[in-house]
Amino acid sequence: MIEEDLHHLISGCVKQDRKAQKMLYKAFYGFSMGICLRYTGNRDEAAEVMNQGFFKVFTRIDSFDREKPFKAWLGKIMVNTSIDFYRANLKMAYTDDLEKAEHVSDGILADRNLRYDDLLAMVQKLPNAYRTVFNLFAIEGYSHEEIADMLHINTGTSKSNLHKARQKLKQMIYDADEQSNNRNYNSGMDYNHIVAFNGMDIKTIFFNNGRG
Amino acid sequence: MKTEEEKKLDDIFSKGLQHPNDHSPYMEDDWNAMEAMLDKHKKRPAIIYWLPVLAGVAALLLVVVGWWLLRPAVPQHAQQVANHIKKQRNNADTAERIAKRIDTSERSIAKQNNIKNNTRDINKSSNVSQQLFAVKRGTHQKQANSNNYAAVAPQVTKQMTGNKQAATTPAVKSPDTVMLAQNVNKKNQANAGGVAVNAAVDIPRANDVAANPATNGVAANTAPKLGTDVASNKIKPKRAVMAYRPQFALSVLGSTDINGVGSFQGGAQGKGNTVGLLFSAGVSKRFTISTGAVYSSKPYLTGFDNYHSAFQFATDPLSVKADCRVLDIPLNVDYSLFGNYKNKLSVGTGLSSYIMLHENYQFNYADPYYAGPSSYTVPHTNKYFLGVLNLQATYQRQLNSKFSLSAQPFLKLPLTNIGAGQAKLQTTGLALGVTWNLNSSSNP
Repeated sequence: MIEEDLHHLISGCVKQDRKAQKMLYKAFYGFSMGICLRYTGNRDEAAEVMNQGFFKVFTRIDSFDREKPFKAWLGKIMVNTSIDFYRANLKMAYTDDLEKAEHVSDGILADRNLRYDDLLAMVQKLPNAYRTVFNLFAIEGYSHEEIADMLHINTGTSKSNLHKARQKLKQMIYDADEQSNNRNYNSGMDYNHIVAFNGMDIKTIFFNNGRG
Repeated sequence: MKTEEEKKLDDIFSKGLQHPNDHSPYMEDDWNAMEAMLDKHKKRPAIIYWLPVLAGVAALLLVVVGWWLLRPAVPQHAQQVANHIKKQRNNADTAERIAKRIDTSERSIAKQNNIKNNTRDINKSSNVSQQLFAVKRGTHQKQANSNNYAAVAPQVTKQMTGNKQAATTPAVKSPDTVMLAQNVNKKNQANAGGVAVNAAVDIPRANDVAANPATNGVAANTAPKLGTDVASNKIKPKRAVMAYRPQFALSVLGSTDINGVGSFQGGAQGKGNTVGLLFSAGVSKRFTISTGAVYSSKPYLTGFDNYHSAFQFATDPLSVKADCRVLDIPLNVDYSLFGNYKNKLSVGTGLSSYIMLHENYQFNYADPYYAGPSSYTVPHTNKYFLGVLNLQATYQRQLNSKFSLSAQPFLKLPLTNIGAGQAKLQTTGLALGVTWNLNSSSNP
């Protein structure tokens, strides 16, 4: 969308013109939904948060400084609305035991090129508290102090949640690799993973009657 | 500090999720939900923004309309007279019928003359007789209130005396007609000791009128009309009240108000005081019913023509000074126009019952040395059920969960004749009060 068209749409929205509002909504639907999907657990929640964000946009658009980029303003509103949503659903957040994730070894992330859908699915699988901190730190670029202020937590919690989120995501990437490799093995394209089984693993399975 | 591994992980996600545009195709359902949200928002502020304004305007209208529309009735009568004159000029048949009515009135008045020493019989005299008498009273009022009419009088007298100029200038007709009666009465003022005499004196006028059908039609038709209208201005004693609302609440209120007979203007008014206790119950989110007891003093001064009594004065007093004490029992309904947890605005209406606790009337005469009746105190208590219409607007400001302050402009209009003087006494004012919310925890 060229700048002139955007300003025209914004002018229409200032006058509460429904047609202009719909055009603006459609034009930034994908962008806004992308942000909200990262902060929520599924598409329905994301759509709800996105509409709340657009509602703020339409009701406060006369306060938008046209000298500044609209997309950045819109993005910030979407992030803030997502944070509001997180706060409103704090009771649903839970603290996960990350013992297993902490054992994920380094070195598995070399030159990964995962698809958007896979990455999004991984982020959405994170508990709310981890997901929110990870989004704000790793993707939006906020510091732990800023995050602590935004989420009303202390910086230690922010750091801890970020660490746990990363471990979880690494584990997910690892698991995805596993599945992918297993698929390749089953199709006879790759046999290297057979070597990965060691005697201890086999012994465990044996003594536990195959229950692992 | 980010480790290399952490940075790599962050980069995977920040780059991989950076351009989501093509991954979330537009869905019309989402816009529909958005539109519903916007519609809801659009209606809400309109109500919140406009209702207080509209309520304020309504409160102002309540006072202004009450003040303005209830002006002294005389100018309206003059207008009605003028309308009748115009109508009669264009309808000779109607004039003839009215001339017939005048003949009837002559016979009735003559009959009344025969029993002039019996005041009770006078009250029983024909309607026409009463109407003519009422015209006389209306004339007195005009004399007192309007110099303009007096200026027209000589011309009218001329017309009447000559009795030749049938229907003349319509514009002058209305005051003329009033003056007609006025002059006749004035002429006979010296021996106008009683009502019957006055009525008799009116007969020649009626005869004169009859002699000239066109003019007569005007005068005769106008006279009854005037009589009726002036009679409707009857005097009454009365007072004021008001209502309140929260869930279940007790309110103490007081006001200094203005009382007027027939209007709040023209000098016929007085300042009274009101204090009362009201109980209110919120029957829904918007509606509140209230009742209670309000004590009110209602002093007022009015012309004698607004005072109605069976007692016949040898010489009519100039004015009547009334002192009435009333217990007002209102039953009101209020509708909340706007409200948040601190402020509320409502309008209401209802009916009041009056219990007259005390009524005293003092009569003032033109001649200060005249030894007529000087006062009259009603010996018994009168009750008038649901005889007064209440109109009010209320602003309430909550101080805390238990107490609120309120300001309430109100108007009380009489629906029936009340008091020994049968005066139409209306009241307006601003009541201030404190409300104790009985179920404070649930009060918004």
